[in-house]
Amino acid sequence: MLPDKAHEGWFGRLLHILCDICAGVGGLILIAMALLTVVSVIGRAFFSSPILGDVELVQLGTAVCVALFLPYTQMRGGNIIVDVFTQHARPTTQRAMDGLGSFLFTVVMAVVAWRVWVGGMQSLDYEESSMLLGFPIWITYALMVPGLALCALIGLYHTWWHWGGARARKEAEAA
Amino acid sequence: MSTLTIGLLMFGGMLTLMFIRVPIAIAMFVPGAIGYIVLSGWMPLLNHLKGAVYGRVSVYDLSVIPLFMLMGAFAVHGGLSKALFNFANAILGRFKGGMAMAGVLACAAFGSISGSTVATTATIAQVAYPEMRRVGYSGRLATAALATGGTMGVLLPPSVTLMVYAILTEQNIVKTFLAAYVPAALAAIGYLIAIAVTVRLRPATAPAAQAATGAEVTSSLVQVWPIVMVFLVVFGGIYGGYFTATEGAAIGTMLTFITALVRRQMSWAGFVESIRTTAQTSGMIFMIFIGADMINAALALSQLPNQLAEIVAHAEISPVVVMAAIMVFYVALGCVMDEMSMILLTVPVLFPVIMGLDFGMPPADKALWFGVLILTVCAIGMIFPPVGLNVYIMNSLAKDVPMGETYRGVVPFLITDFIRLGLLIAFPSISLWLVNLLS
Repeated sequence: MLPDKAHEGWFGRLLHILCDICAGVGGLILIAMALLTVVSVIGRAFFSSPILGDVELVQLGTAVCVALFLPYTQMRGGNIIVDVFTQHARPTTQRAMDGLGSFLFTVVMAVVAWRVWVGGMQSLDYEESSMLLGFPIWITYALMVPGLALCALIGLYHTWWHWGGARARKEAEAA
Repeated sequence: MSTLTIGLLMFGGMLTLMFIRVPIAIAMFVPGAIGYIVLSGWMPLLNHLKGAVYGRVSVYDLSVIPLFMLMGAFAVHGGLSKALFNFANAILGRFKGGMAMAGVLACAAFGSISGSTVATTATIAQVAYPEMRRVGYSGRLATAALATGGTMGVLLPPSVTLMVYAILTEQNIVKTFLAAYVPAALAAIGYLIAIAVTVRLRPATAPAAQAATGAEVTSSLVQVWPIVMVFLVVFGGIYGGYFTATEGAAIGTMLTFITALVRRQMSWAGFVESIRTTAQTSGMIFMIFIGADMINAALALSQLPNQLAEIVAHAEISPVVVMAAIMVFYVALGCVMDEMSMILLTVPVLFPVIMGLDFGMPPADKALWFGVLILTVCAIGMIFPPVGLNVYIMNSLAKDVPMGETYRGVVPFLITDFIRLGLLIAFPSISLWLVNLLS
């Protein structure tokens, strides 16, 4: 069981707010991508002038949008686990396992965030840019990092919740 | 230690982590990363990760997934499911068991504009289930028909699972879409027959037929035409070659949103909820993508997929037997894993095996045929005990019907599923003729 909004400390509430903001911004980017594409199709069909580089923008937008959706999924417990084999295990055992899962999630996301950042800096050094618009690629890398780093923070918070946050959990369960 | 052993150990590690509740994406990533280190070292892994994650998500074709998700979410909040169910019921109400059949067809129609099977099942069931119980359907037949009807969403474009398969195997998305229609239509026919036979054998499970008046049919038709329009514009445009799948998805998203607004069904809360669902589901899918990519990169280093393909190709077994064995393996795997993870994990390993076998057809056709087959099995997995996702969804909506009842009710539908699977394996042309006809 994950902490819910009503029963967690300031850190948990802050993470919730950050995740909502990320998901909201990601959603806006997605809608912007849809609008851009629609305008481009209409321009191509009726005025034979599509938007220059629409494909590139959608490509970069997808990357940022995905990175912004990931923390929201983790905060909501949306990442799939297999629970058929452990559904009759004791709650303490389940918590220990969920803690391990959260811990591994933290490590993976921290490493990924770090490497994407390094990849972005390298792209900056090489001055990579998109083909048609000349948009600097490193910016996309950089825009992915906050979402990925937030994932690692959430993983840390969930690890604490499962392994250490006994009092907070008890309060939540009592309510 | 041979590279092959390392490959197998990675697989074992992944299964172990999965069994102890580690999120599937992470259960794939961690053994993959460790395997990569053992096979090539720390620095190569760190170098790989520098570009791999960005490269995986910054793909134009991939944008169809969140876009079609959003389109489906708008359709859910736009009250379109009720219109579809009412129309189907107005037409089929004249038959005994007609409302159950209407539920199945409404699922098919909604699945044709929604990417998410879960959303299709839940949204149609919310409308259809209370109505079916009110007129006197048994809980067993009502839950089973809707849970099964929802599985068509796995195959019907714009199914997310189908798009993931096309992206993974680098097939043309439009052709993959086309390959799915005839098998999906066969599924619907099979389910209608299953309902007809069930109500014939056990008349008590369904009330007497209730034919709709001509006026009812017309008024319900008025309600569905916007959905038909959206479908025709989006998919007509895609199949007619007027725009790409991503462009179709973008247009569909906008049209569905406008339809919901015009019908005065879209509230601010509904809009926010649509974004939330899209974020959560897309996040889940892309997380699995990242995990599956890691373990597949390591498996490729270990040569396991290639060696497996070679062993199978040289082991004088008839290709059809191999295919049937793979299908059995998928049904078994589907008992514990969700469909998305199954596809992302197994396709990179099994796809080379299939491509290495001689079925007497061109590679592109073989890829489409294989896709239809594994998606059919994935759909079966959604109602197959012990863990049928759709049965769980129905159970959360219909709390008065025990899950065992639903599993019993699903049996006739499963029989038609397995008959269809046999036909699809025996006659690849069922999946391929529409593709060849239109391209």
